[in-house]
Amino acid sequence: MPDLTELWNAAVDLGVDGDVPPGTPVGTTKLSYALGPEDFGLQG
Amino acid sequence: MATEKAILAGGCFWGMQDLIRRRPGVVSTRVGYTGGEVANATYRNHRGHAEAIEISFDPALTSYRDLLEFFFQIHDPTTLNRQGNDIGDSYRSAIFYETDDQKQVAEDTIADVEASGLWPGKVVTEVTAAGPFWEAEPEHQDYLERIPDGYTCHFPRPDWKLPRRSR
Repeated sequence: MPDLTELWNAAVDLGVDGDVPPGTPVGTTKLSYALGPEDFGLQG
Repeated sequence: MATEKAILAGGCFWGMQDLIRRRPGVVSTRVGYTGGEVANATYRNHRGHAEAIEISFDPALTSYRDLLEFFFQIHDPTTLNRQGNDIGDSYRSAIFYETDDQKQVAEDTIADVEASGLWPGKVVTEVTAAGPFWEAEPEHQDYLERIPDGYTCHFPRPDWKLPRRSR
């Protein structure tokens, strides 16, 4: 089981680099949008 | 009408389905999990599977090659186990071929993408024989049709279009 906090922080940190649709807030992930960090280990 | 099937994975299946279902020649789509070992996979238990879309299309109106070219336009095939800000092998880029012909078309399309120099790096898309496809739960089907402001990381890149081949 991965460290969920570490993975979550890494995902947020990577937000500035993500190739996402124009207008998407920086750092937005499927899991931050839909579920929240507690489910990150489930890979949405 | 005789239809054919294509199974593709390119990140979160919500955005994939929302763009692909609008394509001319696409008859129906459903999202699910494939490429892993877990039987009866679900959203909360699909470790090893990719989020994927199964496409039924009319080959008289579109082709497998056309679908793959659009697939490569709406997702980034150069990011390993990642799409946009979504990270993990659930979000890997993969083509699950049904026939040897589909495998050949997939490999040719990837070669053309690589040769074009239009994409930002080396293609990491897996080309794998199709296996069991576990349909996702109803709340994941046609998600963005029901929730238009919902999350997506997919969009067509104007520059990621392969040039037409001269015959």
